[in-house]
Amino acid sequence: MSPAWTATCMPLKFVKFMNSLKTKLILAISVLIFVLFGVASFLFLAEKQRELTQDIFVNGRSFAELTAPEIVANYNLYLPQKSFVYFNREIQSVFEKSQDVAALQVVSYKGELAYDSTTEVEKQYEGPQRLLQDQELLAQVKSRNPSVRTLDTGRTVFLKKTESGDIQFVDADEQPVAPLAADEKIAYLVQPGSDDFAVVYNISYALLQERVNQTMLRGVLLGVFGVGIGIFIAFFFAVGITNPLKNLTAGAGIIAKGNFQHRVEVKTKDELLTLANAFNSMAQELEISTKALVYKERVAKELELAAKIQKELLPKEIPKIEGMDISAGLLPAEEIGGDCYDFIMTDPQNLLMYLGDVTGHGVPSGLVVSVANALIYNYAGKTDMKDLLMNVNRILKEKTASNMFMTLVMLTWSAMEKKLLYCSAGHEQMVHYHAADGKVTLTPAGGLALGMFPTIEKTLEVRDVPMEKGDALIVYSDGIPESWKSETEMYGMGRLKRAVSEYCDLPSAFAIRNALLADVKEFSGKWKQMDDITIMVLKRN
Amino acid sequence: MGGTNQFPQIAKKIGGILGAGVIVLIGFYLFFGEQILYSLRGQQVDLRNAPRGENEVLTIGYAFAPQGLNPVLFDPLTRSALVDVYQGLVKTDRSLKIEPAIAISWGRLDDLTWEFRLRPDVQFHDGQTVTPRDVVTSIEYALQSDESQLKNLLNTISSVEENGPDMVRIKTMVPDPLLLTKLSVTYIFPERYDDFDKPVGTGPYRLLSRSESTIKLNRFEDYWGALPAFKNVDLLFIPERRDRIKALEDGTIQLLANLPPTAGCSFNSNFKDAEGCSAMKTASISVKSVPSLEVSFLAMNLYNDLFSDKTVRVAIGKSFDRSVFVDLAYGFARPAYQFVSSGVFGFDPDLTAPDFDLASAQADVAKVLGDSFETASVTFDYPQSLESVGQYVREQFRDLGIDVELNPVSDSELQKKILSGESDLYYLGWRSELGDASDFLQAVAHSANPAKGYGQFNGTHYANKKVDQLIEESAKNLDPQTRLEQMQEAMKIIVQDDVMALPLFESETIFAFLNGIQFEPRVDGYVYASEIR
Repeated sequence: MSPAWTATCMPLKFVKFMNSLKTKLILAISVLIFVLFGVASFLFLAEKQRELTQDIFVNGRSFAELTAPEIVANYNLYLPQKSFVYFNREIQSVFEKSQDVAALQVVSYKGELAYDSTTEVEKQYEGPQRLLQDQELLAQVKSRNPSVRTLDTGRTVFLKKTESGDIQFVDADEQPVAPLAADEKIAYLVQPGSDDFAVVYNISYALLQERVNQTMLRGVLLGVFGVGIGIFIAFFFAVGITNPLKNLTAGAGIIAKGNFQHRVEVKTKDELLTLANAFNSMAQELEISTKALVYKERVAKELELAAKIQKELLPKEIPKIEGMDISAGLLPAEEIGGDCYDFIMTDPQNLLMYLGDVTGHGVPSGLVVSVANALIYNYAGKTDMKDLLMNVNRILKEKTASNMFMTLVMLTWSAMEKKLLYCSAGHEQMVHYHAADGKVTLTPAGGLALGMFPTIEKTLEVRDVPMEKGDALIVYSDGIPESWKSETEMYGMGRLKRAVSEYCDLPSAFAIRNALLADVKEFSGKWKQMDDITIMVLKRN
Repeated sequence: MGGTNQFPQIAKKIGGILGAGVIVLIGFYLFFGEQILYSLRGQQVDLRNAPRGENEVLTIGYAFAPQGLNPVLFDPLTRSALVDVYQGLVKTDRSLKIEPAIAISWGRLDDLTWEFRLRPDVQFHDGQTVTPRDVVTSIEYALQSDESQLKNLLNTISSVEENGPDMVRIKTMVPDPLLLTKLSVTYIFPERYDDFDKPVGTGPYRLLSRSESTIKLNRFEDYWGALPAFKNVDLLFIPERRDRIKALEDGTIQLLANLPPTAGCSFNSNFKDAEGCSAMKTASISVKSVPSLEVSFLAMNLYNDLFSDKTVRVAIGKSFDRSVFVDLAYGFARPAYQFVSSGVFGFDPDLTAPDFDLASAQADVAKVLGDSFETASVTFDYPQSLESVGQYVREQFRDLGIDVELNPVSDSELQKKILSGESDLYYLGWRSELGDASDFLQAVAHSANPAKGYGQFNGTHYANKKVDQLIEESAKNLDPQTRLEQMQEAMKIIVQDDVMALPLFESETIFAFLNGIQFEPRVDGYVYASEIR
């Protein structure tokens, strides 16, 4: 911690400190308590001071009334005879009886100061006559009434006792004057002791001051105590607020770093708990949605990979074989498609082709497609078409879910015999374009979808498609006729047949394929492709 | 980073704990402080007087060591050594107000019978509890012992009796207004007590050791009252005046009980430049003086042929210029014209200086001398320490044609001479330490009557029936006004009519002390170590 650090950071720290909720709360409560205590102490102090002042006056008055004759008697007995030792002893015992009398003087009626306790401590006064110069005091001494001189205003007030024993405030002529206020301090009190002497009592407020100071000290301590307690209460109160807030802040930081398991714990039962609960459920939601997002991303990646793999499964090149121009294409509705096609050269003169469509589309369909592809690949060339399909059916029935099945049409072209045979397993009827007359016909349907029933032997039938030169056979999946333009209108077989008749005089299978697909796409426009679209065009040449 | 962060954390924690501690303390003070304070204030009597360190020693300097330590001796030397060791049934404060001591309460059953209840927890320095038996024994010893100098003081007491386990009854022959004051100087000691040189009292200090030059006192921790501030007190006796002052100046002693006026003059602006005033280092020393209540006078033996003639005594009175004492004492004394000083009850303000008339005095003395003597010569016995007084007396007598042979003696020797009644002319200082003239009148002015306890210090053989009667009357008079008149009348007779002796001066006692201690002189002039803080 270098001094520079301190110098630059302290103000910042201070600003932060001052802006903290805790500091504000503590300050507010402290100020409140301080003001409350201050006002209360001030009032209490004023009251106490008034009370004590009044007490001292009342006590002093009765003390003077009781002791003045005794003091004068002692004076008469001892001092003229110079028996100061005894007199002093008596005076000391008078002083001991009151803590508020600081000094006393004995003054004769004619105004001679006979004894002064402040100057005559060890021995008696000896010297010239001491005559009072203060005429007002002299008037007090000469009065039959006791009297006081106020400390602050220097006012002389005589105290006349009524018959009922009450005190009347009068002047030297016994005319009423303004009474002494309760908190009016008196400098001294004059009490006639005999016809010859009066005693002057000097009143000390030292004791009062001491008690006031004590009260003041107590007030200050009480204030400190209150503020201290206030600070502690405010501190704990503020901590009750700021700690959950800190927890929330820290929690937000932790969650921001990806730890969605983190939960903020709040022990209060107030709005902060609500906030924390909201925060926690937010974290929970965030966790779920983020997990979903991750999962989705993973799935998307996997699907992408799967699509790639599926794409690999499609034939990269269409084999060239004598007598037949072939083109094919597949437009999946999603990453993974449920359609498939393949060409397998069972021998140089024979080409096995098929186009299948697994119910639905997406991953489950894709998996079935893969199985089917593998199976067909495995059996291709080893047996005839019917037998092959029976085998594929049996295995698919066994290995796939009961609701998954596949329509498929399988064809073989013998280059030597120039013969196209096909066997349909519940697949759409193929569209045959007769180049000779430009007619378009549908091949007969047949068979049941693969994987639906354990045996389909009886439904399978291998048929021949008489392909004349220029004829074209369109093999397709139901994605083409069921291509939607709107919610109500789809492509339909009619449009397909028309398109076939329109485009199948094109010179190559590839061109026909493109034309047909373009026609479908043009039809559906921007409407989402709902199903995989697969097409295989065979053109006899 | 962790370190720098941890530090403020720890500091905060410590700060918090400290803050909480302070708040708790304040709260504790606020809610229970009053009781704590009050309970402390209750003990404060004890605490207030014991703030001095364990090893701090209070040293008080005196001129002379006491000859004995018998508690019934009443001379100032013995008493100075014993005031903190012994106590009476009651004690007096510095204004001579009576306060309880061994007796916790008392009262008068009738005019002649006093009852005292003993404080239950008072222990002697040997650990024994004070019993009524001890009190009775002590007072009876003071009444009867040959050594007792309290006999005349206590001569009104007719009997002392135990009354139950904690009561003592004292009966007086006549009503005695001063009985309590007298009992305050009548020390109580254990019943079975053999060696007064090893005092066993009940006071706040006990005597540890005693030598020619030192008395060592040690605080009595089982003292019934407030323990004094100093644990150890040494009383040092330094006869040589210069040594005493030097000891004060160099701090060997902290308080000098009687600072000689020749040194005290340093503190008196009127006299500090006077001849013979030896300046003191006054920086760290304070001085307080009080009237000593002591009057010094010349006592003349009436059995002496010369002094038996009243004319001579009156003439001496007229020829003595007593104002010189003011200067001799550098302002710490003033002339005396009666046997008690002003301030004492019994003092008569009307007794003033007789007319000074040396010529007629010389004539009167010459006449007497011419009638009876060829030459007159007397021996003056006076204390060694008062050389200037001796010189002054010789000069004054020479003016009257009387030769004076100076005989400076030690205090104890002087006392012996006075008590034997053989000294022709002697110096006596009488301190009315009770604040009352009665003890002087009874011990010095009353005709010698050992049986009744009067005239114990009457070394002049003075006897006047009227005076005796007045003294005896006053002793039992409970009305202060008429008692005063009786004493004043007696005083007037012995001073003016009979010229029993020649009052010279009343002095002030000067106390000098180092500024480090708190000291207030007492009216009776004694120094109580237990009152020094």
